[in-house]
Amino acid sequence: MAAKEREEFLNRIAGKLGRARRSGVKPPRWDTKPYAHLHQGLDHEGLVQQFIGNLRTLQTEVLRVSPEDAGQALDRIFESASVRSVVYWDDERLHAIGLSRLLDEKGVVHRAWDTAVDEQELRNYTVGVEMGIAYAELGLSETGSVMLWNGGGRGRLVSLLPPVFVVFLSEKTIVPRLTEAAEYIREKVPARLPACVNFITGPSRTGDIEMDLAFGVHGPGKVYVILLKG
Amino acid sequence: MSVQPLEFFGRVDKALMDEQLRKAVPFTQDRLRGGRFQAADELGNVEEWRNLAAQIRMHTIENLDSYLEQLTDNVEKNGGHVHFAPTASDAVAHVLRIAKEKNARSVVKSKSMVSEEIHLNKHLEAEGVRVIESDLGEYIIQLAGETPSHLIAPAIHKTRTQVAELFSGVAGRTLSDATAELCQFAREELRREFLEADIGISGCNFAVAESGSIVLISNEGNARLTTTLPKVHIAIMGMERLVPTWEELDIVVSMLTRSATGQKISVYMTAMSGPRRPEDIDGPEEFHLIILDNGRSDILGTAYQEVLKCIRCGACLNVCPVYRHIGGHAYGGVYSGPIGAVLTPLLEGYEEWKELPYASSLCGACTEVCPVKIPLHDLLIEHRKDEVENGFTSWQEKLAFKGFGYLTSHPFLYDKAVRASHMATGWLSNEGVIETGPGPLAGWTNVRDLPRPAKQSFREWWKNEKGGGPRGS
Amino acid sequence: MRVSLFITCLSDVFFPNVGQSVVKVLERYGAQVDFPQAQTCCGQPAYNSGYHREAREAARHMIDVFADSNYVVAPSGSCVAMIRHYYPELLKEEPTWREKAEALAKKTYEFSEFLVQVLQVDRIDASLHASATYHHSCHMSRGLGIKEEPAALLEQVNGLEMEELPYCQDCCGFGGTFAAKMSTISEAMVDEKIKHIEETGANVLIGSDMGCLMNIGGRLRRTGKDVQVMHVAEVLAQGGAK
Repeated sequence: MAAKEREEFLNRIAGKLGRARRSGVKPPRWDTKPYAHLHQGLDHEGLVQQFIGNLRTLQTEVLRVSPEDAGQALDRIFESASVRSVVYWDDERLHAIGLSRLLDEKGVVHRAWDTAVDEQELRNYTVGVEMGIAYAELGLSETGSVMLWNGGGRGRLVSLLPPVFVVFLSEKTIVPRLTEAAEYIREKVPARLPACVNFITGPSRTGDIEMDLAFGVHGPGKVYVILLKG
Repeated sequence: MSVQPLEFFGRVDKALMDEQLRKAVPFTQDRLRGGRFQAADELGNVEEWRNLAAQIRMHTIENLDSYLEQLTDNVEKNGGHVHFAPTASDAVAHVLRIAKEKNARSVVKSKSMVSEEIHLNKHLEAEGVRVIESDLGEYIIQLAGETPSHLIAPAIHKTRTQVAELFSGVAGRTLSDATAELCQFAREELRREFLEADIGISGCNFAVAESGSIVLISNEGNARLTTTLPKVHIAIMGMERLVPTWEELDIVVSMLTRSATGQKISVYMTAMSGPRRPEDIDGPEEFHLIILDNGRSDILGTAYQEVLKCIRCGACLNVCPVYRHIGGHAYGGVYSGPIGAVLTPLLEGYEEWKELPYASSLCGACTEVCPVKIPLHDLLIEHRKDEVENGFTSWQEKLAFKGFGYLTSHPFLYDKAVRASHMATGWLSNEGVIETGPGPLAGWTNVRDLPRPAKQSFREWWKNEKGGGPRGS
Repeated sequence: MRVSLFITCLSDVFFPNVGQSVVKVLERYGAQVDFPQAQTCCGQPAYNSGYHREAREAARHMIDVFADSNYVVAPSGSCVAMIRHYYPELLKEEPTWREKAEALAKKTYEFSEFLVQVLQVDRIDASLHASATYHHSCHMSRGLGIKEEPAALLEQVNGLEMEELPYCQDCCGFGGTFAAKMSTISEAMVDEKIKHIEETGANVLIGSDMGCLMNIGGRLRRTGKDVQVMHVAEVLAQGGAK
C-alpha cells in the first residue's frame, strides 16, 4: 500500500520531467567553492579569536581556560547567573574535567543525564533546573556556533529546557565554518547519524514583536562557552 | 482553495488604508533587506554563491524522483515512516490518522508554511484536537485569528499594544507591552503546552537525502521543543525541499539565513535523523515524514520549473516595492510577495488569482536578490502570457493590443497615428495637460497628469528640420 | 560615426524635445545621426502585458528598420532592455529572426551608455545651474547594468549640483500598464519616490526613461510640487559652446 503510494508519487515526477525514473543519482562535483576565500588569512589562533568575537556580539561570554582551571570558569559563570540546580551530559569528557566534584563545591544540586533513570522523572527534574551543561564536538569560527552530537547520555533537553546553557568546547576542534562541519558529518553518515545533531549559536532570540530583539523566549536566554585550551 | 471575503482590489484598498500596516511593512523591509545586503557584501562574492545555489537546486529538481527515493529509504532505515501526499487532503488525512491512532488531544506546531497551505489547523480542530502554534509570531496571529503577513516574520502587522492585549486575554491579567514581559509570558504559557502535547508538527527547511535527515532552521528554540518533547513528531515537507548531501546543505543554508535576515547562521540548526535511538531517553518515539505534492509536480517540465528552486527565504518580499505598500494579506494566499504572485496561480489556478501576476511593475528587484536565481519577474510575464492565451483578459484589451500589433508593424499607419495624436486629444486637454482620461486612461489620470501629445512630434520635427528622409538634407 | 536614432514612442509623441536634445548632443560629440522614419515602437507594452504574438510583430518590424544601421541609440533604458534581452527571447523559435534579433541587440545602446562606452566622451561641455537628483530606472540599472554612466556625465555639467536620491533602487511605480491597471498601488509607490526626491532638496529631477519621468512628473504636477523634470539628454544639451 505504502509502496504503491510511493511508486505512483515518484513515477508522476519522472513523467512530468519527461523521462524514465532515475535512481541512485549522485550530485556532480561542483566546480566552485565560493567559501574558499573566507577566513583565508587566519591561522588557528585567528580562528579562535574570530569565534570568540562572534559570540561576544551575541551577548555570549567565552571563558578560555586550561582544563585544570575549568572550576574558575564555572565560578565566573555562577557569579553572574543565579543557579540552584544543574543537569549535565553523562559524557566522559565532562567526567575527565571532574565536573561532578566542581559542582559539589559550588553547593548546587546536580544530576547527570543518566539513561538508566526513569525518563519522565529526569525530564521533570530538568524542567525545573536553571542550568544545563554539555560538551560540543566542534566549534564554527565564522559564526561562533557549537555542534552538539546528541544521543544516549548526551540528552537533547540539557541544552534546551534550562534558561542557562553552558557548553564546553576544546579549542582544537574549532573549524572555519559550516563547510568543515558538513565534511565531518558526511564521514559519519555510513555509520548512521544520531537522532539529533544541534548547531547552536548563542542565546534563543526573536524579533517577532515589532522587530524588537528579545532573548530566551523558548530556548536558553543565556549561553556561556567554556573554551578549553591545548 | 481559499475563500476570500474580499476580492483582490478590495484587499489592496484595505491594506493601503491601514496606516499601521503602511508603517510596519517598510520598517520590517528596511531592517531585513539591510541585513541581507550587509551579509552579501561581507561574503564578497555573492554572485558565485548564487550561481552555485541555483545549480544545486536545479540539479535536485531535475532528479527529484531519485533523491526523494533515497531520502525515503534513509528515513525508513532510521526508523521513521514516510507518507506520500499527492494532494493537500491526502496530507491532512495522514495527520488525522496518526492523531487518531495516538488519541491525541493536543498538537504543538512550529512554523510551517506547508501546514498553512493544507489548512491543517482547522482540520485538526474539527476533529477536536487542540492546536498550538509555538513560533512567537505564529502564536500571536493564531490568537488574533489571522494568517501570516510575511514569510519570515508572520506578525509584523501587529503592534506591541495589540500583542499585549492578545496575551492579556490568555493570561487573565493585564500585561504591559514591554517585549521582555510579553516574551516571558509566551515562554511560560507555551512551555506548558510543549510538555503536555501528544504530537509535535514541524515543517522542514531542508531534508538531506544521503542521511535521511530533516533540518530545521530557527532562532527561538520552539522548533526544537516541538520536535523533542512530544512522543510523536510529524514533519510535513514540500516535495522539492531537499538537498542531496550535507555538502549542498552547507551552501543552501548559508544562503537562506543571509537572504532572510542577514544572519550568517540561525541560532539553531537542528538535524533530526529518525526517531530516538534505543539508547536515548529523550526525543520522539515515532517520526513521520509527510511528503507533499499539492500541485508542485504540475510545475515540472513547464516554463515555471525554476520556481521550485525556492528556499523560502523571503528576500524577494523584502525588496518588493508592491509588497512594501500592500503587505502580505492583500495577496490573499499563503505565500505573498513576488514568490506568492508566481507560485499561487501555479498551485491553485487563475480563476481566483488572476490579478496577482499583474500586481507588479516588473522592476526586477526580486530577481536580482533571489539567492537561487529564480527569474521571478520574467515568470510574472509568463503568467500574463498564459492568462492572455487562456482567455483571462478582457476582449477590449485583446482588441487594443491587436490594434497595437497592427499599428507597430505598419509604419505608414503608425506615422499617421502619431501625427494625428495632438489633434485627437484636444477635447481631453486643458493647456497641454490631460487631467481626466477616458476608459483605460482613467487609471493613469486618477493619480497623475498626462501631458497632451506634442503639437509637433519628433518625426515631424525631423522631417522639417532635417529635410525628411532618414539622413536629413 | 553613423548612429541611427531610435526615438521611442513616448518621446516621439509626448517629448520631442528630448529627441531633439539627443540629436544635438550626439552631433556635438562627433556622431552623424540619422532617423529611419519607418520606426514605430519596440513592442514592450505588448510584451509586458502578455501579448507576445503582437510584440513579435513589432519586433520583426523594428529589426528590419534598423537592419542597415551600425549603431542604434535610444533615450530609454527600458526600450533598449527590450531589444537587448527580450527580442532574442521572443524570436528564439525562429532561427533566422533570432539571429537578426541578436545582431540588433549587439548594436543597440542606451543614450548615456553610448556616450560613455562607445563615443567615449571624456569632456562634457554643458552648463545648468540647478540642484538636482537622478532617478535610476529599474530597466536601466538592473536590466542593463548601467549605473555609473549617467552620473559620470552629469557631474561634468557646469553649475549642476547633484544630490544622491535615497532609496534610489526602489521602483517609481510606472511599470507601463501597471500604472493604470494597479493605479492605487502605483500611487503609493510614486508618492514614496517623491518623498525621497523632496528629501534631497533638489529642484530638478533627472532621469533616463520617459516612462518614469512621465509618471513622476505627472504626479508632481498633480500634487502641486515645484520640481522640474528633465531627461539626461536635455541637461547635456544645455549651455555649452555650440
